[in-house]
Amino acid sequence: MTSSSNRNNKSVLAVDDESAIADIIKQSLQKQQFKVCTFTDPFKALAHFNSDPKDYHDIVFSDIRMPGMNGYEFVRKVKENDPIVKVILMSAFEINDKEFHNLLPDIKVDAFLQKPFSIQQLNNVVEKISIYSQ
Amino acid sequence: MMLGEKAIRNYHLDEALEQINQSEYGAHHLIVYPNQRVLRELYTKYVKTQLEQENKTVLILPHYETTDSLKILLAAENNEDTMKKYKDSLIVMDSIKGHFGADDHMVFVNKLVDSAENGVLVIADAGPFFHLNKKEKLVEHELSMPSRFDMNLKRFCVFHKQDFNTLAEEQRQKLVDHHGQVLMIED
Repeated sequence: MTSSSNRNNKSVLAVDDESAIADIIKQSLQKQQFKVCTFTDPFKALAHFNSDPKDYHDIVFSDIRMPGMNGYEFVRKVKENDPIVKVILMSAFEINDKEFHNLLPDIKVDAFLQKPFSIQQLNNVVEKISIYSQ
Repeated sequence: MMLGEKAIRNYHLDEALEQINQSEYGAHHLIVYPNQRVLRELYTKYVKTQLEQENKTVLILPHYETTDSLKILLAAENNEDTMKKYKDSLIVMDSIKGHFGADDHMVFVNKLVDSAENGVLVIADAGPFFHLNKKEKLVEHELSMPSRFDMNLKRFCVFHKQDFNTLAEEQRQKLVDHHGQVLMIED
């Protein structure tokens, strides 16, 4: 289990064009002692990610269907800057394996979160990622 | 804003609704929406009128909204009896399946037009072309349809502003020139 003491040092960045989802992630993970910043615009999220020191963020959440820049492109750009950051893709749609492999070949995604998700499911996926990133 | 020869006007949602309510059969318009909230408002206000007052068959192809959440949204605006009444005349299809599935949705639309008594309204989000990195295909697809349909069909191609802005100027110009009217909705 990841203790709350080491979570204090973990930073999460989340982007979802639905502000309600971004808010839920922020509120839930802040309660778990993570440092969380959220965005509804992937361009702003990416600018923020790139402006922080390399390796600053531990986990990135990204919605898949977003206007302007989809989650695949966002993750690709994030990984270009920080190849070891853990990535969780989220979608309310069925996740299409063929589409995923066509649009994001050679990029490792650490977990998928199907929307709608419960707080428990959110915490579980973060727990899993956090264990692996220790 | 000018793009090529055609002026693009900015509209508040109510003005845009007035414009599209006045559109006649054959209309093939382009609508740029600023965010999901505005598009949801357009769906609820305009689709309700088209179903209740105009008795049209309505096909919606959302991209940033699941088909279930759009149905829930529309059901919230109408009572249960109304939704039952329009069960067959309101069709919601995921835009990726509609544009890139086994059958192109326009084949389905042509069949609908043949069978619908009071004409067909299609609201199709162009999101899948951006999502799947097929912008050239988008222009090709739009240009394959006429600027004005010669049948009982109104088609509104809806673009999220952030998607529309990623097109090259030449692509935007082709799309603008090809559509009957271009409505840029402000937040």
